[in-house]
Amino acid sequence: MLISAMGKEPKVIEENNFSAPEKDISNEEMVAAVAGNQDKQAFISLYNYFAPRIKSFMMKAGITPDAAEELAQETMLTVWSKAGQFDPARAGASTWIFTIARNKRIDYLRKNARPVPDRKEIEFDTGIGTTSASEVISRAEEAEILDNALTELPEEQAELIKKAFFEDKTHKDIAAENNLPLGTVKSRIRLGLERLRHKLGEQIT
Amino acid sequence: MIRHTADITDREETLLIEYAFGTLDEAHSLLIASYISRSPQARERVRACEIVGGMLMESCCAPESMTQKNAEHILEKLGAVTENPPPAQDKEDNAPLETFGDNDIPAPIMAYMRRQQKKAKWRKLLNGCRICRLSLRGSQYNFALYDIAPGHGMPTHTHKGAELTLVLEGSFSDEYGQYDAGKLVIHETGTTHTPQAHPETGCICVILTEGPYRFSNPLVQLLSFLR
Repeated sequence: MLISAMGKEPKVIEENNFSAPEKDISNEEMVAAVAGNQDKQAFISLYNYFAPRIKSFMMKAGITPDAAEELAQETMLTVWSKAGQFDPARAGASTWIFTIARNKRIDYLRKNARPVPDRKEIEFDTGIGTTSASEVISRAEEAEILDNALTELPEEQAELIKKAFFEDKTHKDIAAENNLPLGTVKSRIRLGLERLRHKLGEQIT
Repeated sequence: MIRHTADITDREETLLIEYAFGTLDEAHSLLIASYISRSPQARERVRACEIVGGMLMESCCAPESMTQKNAEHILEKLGAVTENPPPAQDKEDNAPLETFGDNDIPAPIMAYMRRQQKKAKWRKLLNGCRICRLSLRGSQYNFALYDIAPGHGMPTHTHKGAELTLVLEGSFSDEYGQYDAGKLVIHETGTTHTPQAHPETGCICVILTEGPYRFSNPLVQLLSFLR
């Protein structure tokens, strides 16, 4: 995959630049290619895109970078071996891959003492502005939808959803830590999720 | 104190969200996994949260740099995975079904029971009531299957902490309502009740509790210590 030279110096073309998959082929189609033809190229594309994000997801729960990278690899290996089970009618590729990553994270955290996540790592991060230019350009549309939806949420709802998702904590833990009534935490998260689903449903058909 | 208002739906909704995001402990996870295997509605709500989860992971987790920069290593592992598919899970699915009795026991629970075969046995708890306890990793919760014969039930009791019951077969009723198969019943801490199985069908259910039984009848309470 080529990176167009956005900067002044010619860039070294790395084999894996973790940029987005070709825009013409969706993630769902790539999973299907893996399932149907054991397409390694398609798999590499998926790997380059998802593995660094899965690693990030793991690290936000306080898992060390090395363990997180291993979990990301294990997740993608499961994607390879279970590609035949993916049903695009039921969910998108990112949802499916998320559930695999989530389950690996659960197993890992249950076997190991739960690490305390570094507060600094939990900051909301859209991924825009911290990734390569080509990636920004090709993923801009999709990321923007969620980014807008999240920023349009009342601050208090977005804040709690991030905590519920990134920090490996129940609603009750979040309430206790932030000195909020449990009912407030619950309703803010529920309302926020409702709005997000509604917004995403509007854009994606 | 029991609340038959929106708060009950609240509690269930929270459990479904936490399940979808992967933050539930093992005991509650197992209960919710069993619940959604029975309830298309609940499954749908979990799915909706998982969709948001996928989007959050894709768009909000800034890609971390990987130490392994070239693809060779992962391609090698692919070869191993294709040639030697992991046997563990397949074996579990194809293992001969132990006769714990019912096809209606949800798959997630069946998996646990198979793994704990020697320890997970039905024992008589009371007249007309047998129990099969499951031990869960590092769990402060009690998790057990109950098989209650028609017309039988539990003496009046309460618990410290909540009591969550998933009805698998038949039905039961208590002072607060009647609950059929597939229903998830959540009684908050301090609720006192006298659950009775349906007089014709009996009841098989899964119950998760945090604290031990506290029977209202002191004699029953005393006897319970002798088990």
